[in-house]
Amino acid sequence: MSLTPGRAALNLSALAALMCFAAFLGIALGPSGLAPAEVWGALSGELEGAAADIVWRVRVPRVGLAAAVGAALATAGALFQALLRNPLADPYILGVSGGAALGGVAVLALGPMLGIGYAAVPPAAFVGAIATILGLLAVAGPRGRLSSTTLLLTGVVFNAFASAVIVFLASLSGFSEGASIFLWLIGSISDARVDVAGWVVFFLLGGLACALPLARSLDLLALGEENAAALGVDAERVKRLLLVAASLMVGAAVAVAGLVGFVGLVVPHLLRLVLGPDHRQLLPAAALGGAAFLVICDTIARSMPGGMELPVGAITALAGGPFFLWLLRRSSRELAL
Amino acid sequence: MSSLTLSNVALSLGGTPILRGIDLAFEAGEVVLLAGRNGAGKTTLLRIAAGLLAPDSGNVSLGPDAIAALPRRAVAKRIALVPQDTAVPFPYTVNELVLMGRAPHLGLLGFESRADRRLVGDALARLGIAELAERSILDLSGGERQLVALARALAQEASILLLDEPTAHLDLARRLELQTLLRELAGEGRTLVLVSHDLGPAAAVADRVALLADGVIHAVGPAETVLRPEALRATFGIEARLVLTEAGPAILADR
Repeated sequence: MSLTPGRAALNLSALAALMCFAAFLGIALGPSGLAPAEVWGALSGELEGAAADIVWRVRVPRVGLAAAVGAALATAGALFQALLRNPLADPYILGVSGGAALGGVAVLALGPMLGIGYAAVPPAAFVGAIATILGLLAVAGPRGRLSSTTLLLTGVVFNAFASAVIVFLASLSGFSEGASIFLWLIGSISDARVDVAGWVVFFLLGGLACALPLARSLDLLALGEENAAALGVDAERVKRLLLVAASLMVGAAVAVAGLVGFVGLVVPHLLRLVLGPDHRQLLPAAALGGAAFLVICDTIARSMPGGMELPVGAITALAGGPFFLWLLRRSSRELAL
Repeated sequence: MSSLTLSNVALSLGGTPILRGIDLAFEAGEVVLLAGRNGAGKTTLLRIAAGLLAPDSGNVSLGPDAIAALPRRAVAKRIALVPQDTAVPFPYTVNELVLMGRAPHLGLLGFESRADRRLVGDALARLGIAELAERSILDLSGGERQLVALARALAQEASILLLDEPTAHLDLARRLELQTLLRELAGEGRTLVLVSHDLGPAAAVADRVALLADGVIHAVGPAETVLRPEALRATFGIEARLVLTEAGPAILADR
């Protein structure tokens, strides 16, 4: 069956319900567990006191940040896979992550020496991401045409270069800086601040506002740029606009959460398998599914026995890696690998 | 007025002249076969005719309008291009892929209507692939994919169809069916431009043959006047002739 508006609405409502359920769990669970009635009371404003404080000051910002980061990464993953016509593409493939990581790690490693605090990490990472996008557009498309192969190669090389510089910076820094660099590179959203979450939401909504009206063009681009153009799509313009929009989403997500892996690869894949590849449904589904997935992973990450907290990037990779392999094995044909 | 006209079209790629002054006019209701060696520039000529590639010099007109001056969607409503082969990276169903042919007729946020779906059903039925509608494109053979691309072009409802080797991967039965279909489409008033290396069967379908060699149109006209032994020798470097058999024209090589 091909997609109809009614069917898309039904599927997306189901995903939205899943996301709400995940958010409710994320708010209820943690080092100090809350009863569903307490969560409900606090959310509706009927309950005050310690439970309400936990809900509003700790859990809601954290769940919100996890949801925004997950949504941004999964949407960007779906966009990159469509733009590069490559089901293996992920949000980090073009080197935006490398640039952001370089910015963030530079502050973590050199900050103590220069007297710059931890608060400068997200802005520095975001500047790194933007610089990478600009560099990428300059290198891969100087004559007005963006070739997917050139983009991919440029991204791979830049990521390798960024890793080398990061290793260099980490080896220069002291033990505690090294540990924080390590944690940041795995990806963590323990630093839940409302102002930071706001920025991710801003770029997420901006990116979705650019991408959703062009969703059909992405389906046509799957036929190749020439076919898309023959069907009326201004392929170059769509590619350029959406590459920048996706990169800004990734940049904002990485800036606040570090390199959380697997969300951007696995979530679009899974949804494409279940719902079909139509991007008019896949893009909003990726946003909702990515949010739900990362909220659940983050809830697991901070519900470890003994009050220990793992970086969420470790959970996504632990859960996502084997799951992805299982998916590949089960449906290597459908995935066209 | 011709439906599609190329006048004095020239193009160089990487410093090598590919086309050097092409003049061709295609009329509504006719099938034109574009023949020539591998690398002669046939596909490039189709891309220019579809407005996807701007020539270095010369003009392409779609009816009274210069194609370069028209918005892409306006061109897409009138010209459909069926390329040689399309690799699709995602598991779209045949139905979904053919529905994409409706895109030029829909707004940015538009979903296909019941009428669009009916057109897609008709296109699939016309190409004899209605039973493939819910199959994933990734599970189909090369020939089946080719039929899907043709169905998409039909669903596009364009009056001009540019077909790049549409029979390359088809079995004999499908080839014959497609020949009949191409004649039907021309009979409905569509313009068909066909690139094919299978000169005999293609000549059977074509009203005119245009022979492309060394970047110019060597000859254009009915098959029996264009595909003469001298022209086949000059273009392909072979000793061969076009023979009219009971079953239609055929190219016979003399050894």
